Amino acid sequence: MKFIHAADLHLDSPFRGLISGGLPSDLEKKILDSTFTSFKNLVDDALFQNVDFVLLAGDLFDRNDQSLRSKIFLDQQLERLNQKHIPVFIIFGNHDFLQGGKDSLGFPDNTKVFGPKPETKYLTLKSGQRVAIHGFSFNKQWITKPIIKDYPVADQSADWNIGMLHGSADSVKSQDNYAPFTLSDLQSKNYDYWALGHIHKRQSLDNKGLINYSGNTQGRHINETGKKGYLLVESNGKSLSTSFHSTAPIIWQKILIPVSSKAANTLIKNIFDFLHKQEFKLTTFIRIVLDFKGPISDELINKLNDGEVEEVVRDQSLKDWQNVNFFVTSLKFETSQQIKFSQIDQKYFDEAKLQTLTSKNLEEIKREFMKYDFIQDFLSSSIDQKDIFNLAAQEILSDTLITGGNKSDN
Amino acid sequence: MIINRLVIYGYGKLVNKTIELNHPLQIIYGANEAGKSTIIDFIKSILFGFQSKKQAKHGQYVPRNNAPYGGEIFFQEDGINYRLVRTKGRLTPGDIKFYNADTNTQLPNQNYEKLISPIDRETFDEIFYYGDFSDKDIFGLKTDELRARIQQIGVPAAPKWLDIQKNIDKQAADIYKKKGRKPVLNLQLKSLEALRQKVSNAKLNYPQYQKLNQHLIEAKNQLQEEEKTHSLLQAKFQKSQKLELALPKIQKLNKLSKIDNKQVKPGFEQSDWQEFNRLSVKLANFKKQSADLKKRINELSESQNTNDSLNFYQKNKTDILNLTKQLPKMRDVLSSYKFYSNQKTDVQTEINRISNSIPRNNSNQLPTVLTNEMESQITELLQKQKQLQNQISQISKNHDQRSKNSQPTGKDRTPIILISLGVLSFILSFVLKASFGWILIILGIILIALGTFRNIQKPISNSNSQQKNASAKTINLDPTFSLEVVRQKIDAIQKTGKLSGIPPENWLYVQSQLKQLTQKQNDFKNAENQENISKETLDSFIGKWQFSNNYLDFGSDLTYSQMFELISNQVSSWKQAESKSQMDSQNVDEFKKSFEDAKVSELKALAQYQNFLTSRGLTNEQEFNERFNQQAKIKQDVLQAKNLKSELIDQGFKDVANQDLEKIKSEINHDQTLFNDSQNQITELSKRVSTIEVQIDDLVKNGEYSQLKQQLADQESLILSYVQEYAALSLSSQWIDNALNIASKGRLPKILSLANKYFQTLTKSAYKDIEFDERIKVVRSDGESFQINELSKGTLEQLYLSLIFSMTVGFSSEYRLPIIIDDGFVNFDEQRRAAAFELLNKISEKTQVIYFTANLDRKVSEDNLLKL
Repeated sequence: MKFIHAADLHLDSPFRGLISGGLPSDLEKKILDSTFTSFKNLVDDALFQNVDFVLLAGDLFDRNDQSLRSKIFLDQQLERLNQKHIPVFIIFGNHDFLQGGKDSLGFPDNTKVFGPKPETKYLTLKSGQRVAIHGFSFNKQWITKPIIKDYPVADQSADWNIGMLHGSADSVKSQDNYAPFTLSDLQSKNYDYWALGHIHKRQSLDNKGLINYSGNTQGRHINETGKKGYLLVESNGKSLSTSFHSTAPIIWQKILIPVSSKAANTLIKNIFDFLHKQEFKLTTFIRIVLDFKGPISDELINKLNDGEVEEVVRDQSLKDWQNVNFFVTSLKFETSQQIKFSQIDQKYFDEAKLQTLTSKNLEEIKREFMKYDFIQDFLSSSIDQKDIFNLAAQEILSDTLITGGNKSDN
Repeated sequence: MIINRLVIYGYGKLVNKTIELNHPLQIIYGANEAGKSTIIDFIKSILFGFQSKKQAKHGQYVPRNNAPYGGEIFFQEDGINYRLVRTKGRLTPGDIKFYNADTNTQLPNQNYEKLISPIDRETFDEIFYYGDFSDKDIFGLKTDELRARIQQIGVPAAPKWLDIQKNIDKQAADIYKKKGRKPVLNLQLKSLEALRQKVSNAKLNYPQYQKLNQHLIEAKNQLQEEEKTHSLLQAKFQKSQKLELALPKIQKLNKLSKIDNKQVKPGFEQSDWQEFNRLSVKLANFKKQSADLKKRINELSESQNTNDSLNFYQKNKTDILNLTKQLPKMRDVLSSYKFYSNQKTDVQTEINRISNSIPRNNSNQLPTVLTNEMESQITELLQKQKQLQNQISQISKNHDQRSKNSQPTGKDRTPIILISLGVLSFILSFVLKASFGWILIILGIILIALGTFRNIQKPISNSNSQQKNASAKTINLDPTFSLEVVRQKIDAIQKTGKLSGIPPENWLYVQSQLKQLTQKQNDFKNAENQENISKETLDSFIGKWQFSNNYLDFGSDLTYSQMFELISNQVSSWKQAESKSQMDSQNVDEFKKSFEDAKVSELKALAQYQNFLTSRGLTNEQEFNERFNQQAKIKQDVLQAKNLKSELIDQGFKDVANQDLEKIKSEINHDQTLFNDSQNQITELSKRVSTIEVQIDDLVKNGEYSQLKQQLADQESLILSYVQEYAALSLSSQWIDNALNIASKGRLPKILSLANKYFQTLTKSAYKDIEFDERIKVVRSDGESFQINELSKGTLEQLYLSLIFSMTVGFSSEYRLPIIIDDGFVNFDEQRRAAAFELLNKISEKTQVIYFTANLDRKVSEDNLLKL
């Protein structure tokens, strides 16, 4: 038995964190096509490998937002598999939740969609083995009930039992609005394999690697780094093994670059030297994090804070992106440089820091932008909060430099 | 810290002065210029360090007379008495020495530094020193500002931090303001709205697609339906069309149905017609035949009678034929005649030629022929003449010859050269084998000939000379005489032959020519004779034909041949005519016979013909034709009707006869209309289907939605980056705030409670509370609150004092330094001053107060007072 497990295709959803447009049109096209290209590569592999079936564990697209392009494309790709008689099993997730009947979807004959209540679909392989697949589709955006409880236990009459579930495990940090389950819930069903969806970071929940999030098929912002694709599950006798295959045309990556230079232009040169040595195979969108060993000049800090350095690096990387296969989307720096105060002031600032840089303090700002969900999410995300706190320190630092209020120790 | 004693070494005016401070509230009284400011500055300098010239705004107070700069302060802190000495040092602040005053042991300077810190001169001035109150205008402050002022006091670098905070707040405000329109984030949020609208407009794609798809399906269904209908209509229409095509047939059938089979009469079949035709033709033929024969017979008879020529011939046939027999012979004679004529001509030509070649004599006459004897003499005579002449000349030349005899005749090589050249050229022509070879051959021949000729001439000239010599030896007669004899003989010849004027060398030639001429003349005569004989014969023959000159017109210009030709032709034509005539006679008989037969046949045919007609009740051909055509038509109609009927039945039209044609026609039109409409409908629907398909295709291909979504995501990212900055700035501002607050350690509430207390005291409980909301308000004992601007000046001053003192006292709990007041109440009235002092007393319970004044108040007790 050989099958593909993929999820979170998020067809036609845009990249986040690309602040200004002005990208060359070929890069723009590559971005717009990326989710499609990735899935097409998956279907190419499925055909080439002649897999027995394909599992798609939800969030294929955004139902509210579904573009015609994604619908037609999906239909086409499913049809390609249909031509080769490769069945596809789909569960819909919180983004592509299915409210209406599944008959009006217009999918080809090979495509089976699970309904809102957990059900089992059977399939007989060319080898004669019988496979039972258990799953359900979201029929609304949030499902707080642990639907896992309604899944049947493994059907003994089938050679293989596979479960499909789109939702959040309690061990993975996420809210509980997405058909929550625990690892033991899953294990209690005694399935041979769990094809999970919803979490974009590819991971195994168990140590055998048979309860997996395949991750999304194309990273869409800097926090979805690394190669993206699908999991190929193959049987060897009575055991299963899983391997990852990459299909995404664009990879996001955070790169820590150690730097010790003080001047802006040598810094930029060092950055590019470092990046060119990397020899990226796939188009890579990079966030550079500068790791300064030693003090930075005031002038450089200002340039960094202004975003001047980031802009220059970004623009320069854009010129040659096709040859070098990378594009610098953002540049951050960490510095141990502290704001120095007079003794009377230092402890006040340190104490005030603890008091001020809390997520609670962001509440008021959050309230200011209550209408905008995306801002709410941003201000609630702990990673982004951390960034804000760092930035606050840098603001004060740069301002003290400007006003000359910084006193050194001696 | 409580300062007990001041020991001034030298500071300004004061030199070597000791001042004891005994009372917690120490009032130091001195007139103006007594040194109050000096002492105040001294205290600050000793505690915090001397100032540089730049720093010392009021001067460095360098003492006069080179007195040592500096001094000592004795103070008590936490129960221990200390002694601080500061004198001028290398550095500006001076050198300090720190002692435990009780034990008089020196303590490390750090101990003092630790003790005094974090207060420095600046901080001290801010917190513990009071100059003129009136310019400290804190009444207008809001609580925030008051707080800020308090914060300022709490943190020495506070102004800088507040500046930074102001800067940060400004940056934040540039990014976002609550109801702002200009800040960047506000603008970006606005564009976000617009972009979202665009996206949602583009999003309508999907429902639009569904709608279009729906329309497409409907249209396709409609099309299908219409096509079904169409094929039905088409079938019907085709049927109608067939019917339409059949209409004329039907019409015709209708017409034909009137004709009855009964009208057909026998005897008018095609065969009958053919028969009739045949009979007519036969009759006509026979008629013609007999007519022709008759004609021919008549013609022939006619011709026989009227041939005069033939008649003549026949009359004179014998003669004519006899003469004709002679014709060949005559032709021969003619040939002879011609021959001799020609000969004559030729001979004449010869005669002329020869005659012309003979030179004429002086009388322009031809010479005459000489006898042979004379002729032969000429040569001899001429030779002799020459000989004699030579002899004569030779004698005269003998002299010349002898002198010239020694000259050898050079061997003449020329001939050899020429011959050899000729041979060479001959050889060359063969060797080269060129196209001009023949030239070389000819050249060769010429050269050889020339050479040979030259060679031959040598011997001749040699022999000539030999001969001359011979003659010269043998004849030694008197040449002159002999010559004369010869000449005479020559002359005689000349005369005879009429040769005068002709050179004698030519005489022989002339002779031969003359002989020829004579010969030729004879020939001529002969020919002429013969010619004449022939002519006679011919003419006689011709003459014999005279009798037939009506038919043989010899004319005047004809040649004999032509005449013979004429005769021959005429005779043969006569012969022909004769034979023809004979044949004709034969023919006439035959014709007569045929004519009889023909006539019989003709009559027979006529009978048949007439019978044919009468048996059909007809009288003539015309009638028959008419009747026949009629019948034919009838039959045709009947057949046609039959055919039409069967055709129509084949096409499916039974019983169509007598149908209403109009009805049929209108039905056909109706069907056609329906069919055309259906056709149009199908076209329309097909168009519609393709239009919708194109629209759907456009929608699917439209990448605008994806792009817009990405733009929207980019816009959101941009907004988030501003939000991040804004949040960071807000937090930094708060951070500074908090830092300053912490620095003030929540001093405000403490200060406020103290202020309340002091205000109560000062106003003698006329007011019970100070409210610190938006603005500072005071609450009267009856509970009514007043804004600051509603208060009297006196009350204001009291409030002011409460506030400032509460601040100082608030600080002093931490930093226990004495409060120094430099004539602060100078502008107060007595009552107020009393209250103020009362307050000071209260304060001095907690903190040392040193009050410098130039005005003495009676109310002040002696304990407190120190006079300068």
